Amino acid sequence: MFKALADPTRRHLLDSLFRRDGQTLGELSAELDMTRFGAMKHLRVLEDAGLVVTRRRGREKLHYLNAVPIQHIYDRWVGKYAARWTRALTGLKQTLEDE
Amino acid sequence: MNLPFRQVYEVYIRTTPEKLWQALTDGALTKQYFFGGTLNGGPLAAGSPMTYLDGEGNALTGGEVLEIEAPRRLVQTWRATWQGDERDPDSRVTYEITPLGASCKLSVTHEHVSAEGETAKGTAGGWPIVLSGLKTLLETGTPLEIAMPEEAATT
Repeated sequence: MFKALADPTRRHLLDSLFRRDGQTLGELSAELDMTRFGAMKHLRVLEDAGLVVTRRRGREKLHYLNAVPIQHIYDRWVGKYAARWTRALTGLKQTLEDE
Repeated sequence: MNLPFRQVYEVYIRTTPEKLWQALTDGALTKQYFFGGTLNGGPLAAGSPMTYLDGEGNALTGGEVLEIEAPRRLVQTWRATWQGDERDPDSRVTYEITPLGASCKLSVTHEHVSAEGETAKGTAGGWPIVLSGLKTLLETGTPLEIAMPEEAATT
């Protein structure tokens, strides 16, 4: 799963599904300005990691963000005591990036 | 019902279909992973209410059973009662259990009228927490202890 998240293109695909869930391969590759083949390769890595799940609607294959494995990581390594620190640091990051 | 916006979640749990079914339908168990919500008692049948009550007896979510096929498939209307009178139109939730040897795959599909409603936004954050809690409860016998990031930030 960390390998799946390590690639910027794949994170971009997840961001796109977070904004709009249930997109086709064509929509995702158009938005990322990449070939269908390239997008398909990245989506397969995300599917193998359980981060993207697919459902068919007629002839279309739609892709959905499955955030459950990310929640498991959060539960295991972030948890209730660390949350305030990550929140503070995320806030700091946003403040610095907004400047 | 025309419900064009879908959310799809999948989780793999080391358990039997019967135990997973019980965890979905027994209020004493839902209370331990569904934001403290106890599902109404009694056996479920098509048309039964599905209301999750918090510790003070307020409904977290409501709805009715549309289809039931133990221990494989449960379809319900989902009513965002927590929003009060101004709530979103009803949505629909489908649970599907696929046995995989010593484990099961649980798929949850939530179909909404619109992606823009409060319900769809709320459930996008809620389902991963509920389903992680369900997995932890079934695999370890104890509930997942989790504080929302906002609560943790103030403690």
